[in-house]
Amino acid sequence: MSSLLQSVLSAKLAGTSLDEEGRAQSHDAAMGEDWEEVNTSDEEMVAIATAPGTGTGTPANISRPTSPGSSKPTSGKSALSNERPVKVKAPKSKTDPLRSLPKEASQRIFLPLPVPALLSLSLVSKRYRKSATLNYCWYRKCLADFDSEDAGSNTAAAATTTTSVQPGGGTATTAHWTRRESKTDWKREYGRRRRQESKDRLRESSLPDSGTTTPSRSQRLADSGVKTTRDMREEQWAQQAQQETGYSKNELRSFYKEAGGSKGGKGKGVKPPRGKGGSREVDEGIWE
Amino acid sequence: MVVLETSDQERFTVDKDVAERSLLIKQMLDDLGDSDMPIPLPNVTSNVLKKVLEYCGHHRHEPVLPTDEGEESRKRLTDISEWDQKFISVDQEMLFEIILAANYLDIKPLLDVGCKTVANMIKGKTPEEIRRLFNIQNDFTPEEEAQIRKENEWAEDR
Repeated sequence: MSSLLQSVLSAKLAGTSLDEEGRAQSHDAAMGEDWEEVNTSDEEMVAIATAPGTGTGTPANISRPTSPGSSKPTSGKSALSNERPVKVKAPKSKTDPLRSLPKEASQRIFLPLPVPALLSLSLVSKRYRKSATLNYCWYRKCLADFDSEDAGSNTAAAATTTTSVQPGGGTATTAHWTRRESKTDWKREYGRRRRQESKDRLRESSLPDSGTTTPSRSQRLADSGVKTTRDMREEQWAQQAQQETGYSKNELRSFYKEAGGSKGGKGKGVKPPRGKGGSREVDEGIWE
Repeated sequence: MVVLETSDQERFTVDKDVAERSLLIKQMLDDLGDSDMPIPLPNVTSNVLKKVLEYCGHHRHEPVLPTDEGEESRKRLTDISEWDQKFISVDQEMLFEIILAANYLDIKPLLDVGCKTVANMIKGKTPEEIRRLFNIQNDFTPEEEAQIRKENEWAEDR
């Protein structure tokens, strides 16, 4: 009797799980277009890993969980929303550097541009705002304008976090454009550092005698218990994601879960930031 | 002499040292050895190749820099020689065709001249002016645009 019940129950369970699978698949199919978009942009970003002057190759950590920052929330929006706008097929401009030129050439165009020009470009269109090529230009701007002054914290993520004791964290001197960097909004990062810099300058001028032992920016941050760069950026991402999509954290979370599930792999899904990341996994801090 | 054949089946006969400004063609010639076979350039049309060869002819005696000649010269947007400036004063479509051809044919100095020219066109322009320049549609909603302007505010309150 009980075995009969069991088999009925398990059959029923199997039925539901099948159902769910079916639903998930149809959902995937519905988002097919968007994933394609994401994949293309990923390809573009990874390809940038071998851009001139950035060292060679992509480090092995490209499979780490992606950050909910750059392209995913946008695609999430269109996948989630019902009133997805019909893609306006604008007449293809033959003289749009981002459209008609390979990225080697568009990089050559954008890299030497000064910051005000890059800011203008970010307001041109969505493609320009989200362009991996332009993001790379901002990344190079960050390296050029900040890291020389702030020796030791060669990049935002690794060296200025409290986890910088981990291998490769605090001591790396070369920066590579990896998938991790490609997920960071470097324009935002540049602005953040700019603001921080002027704040620092203000503080320095208000304390004219303390010139000798001014701790590094990151040190001050850590000492005063202020959130680390990483935490701040994660919060920024969360905010940005919400602003951009208009969906609540929970809605986004469930979307990320689904996205993660469809890609398979435990923990590989895009996790929304969880407030202050107290106990991060070790691999999060590794910097190549 | 080297024979080049464009995508529209026009043949150009040029001196070897002119053709070899293109590292792609140089590589091909090295691989082929001595041969009278025309070199097909399926990605270049005759009107563009004419222009490109004009550049190569003018610069034929300059040393070919084997690798990327570095970021330094690339950063200086203004240092385009007078001849190059005149040469690159073409309509925008041709300018982009030349950049594409220079990229394909691997003629770094020409690629630089083209890219610097485009960069100089962008410099100092407002977003709307850039859109008009490149014929790009503004696909932002007013809200999105305001949002990005807010994002960019740090540049103003320096």
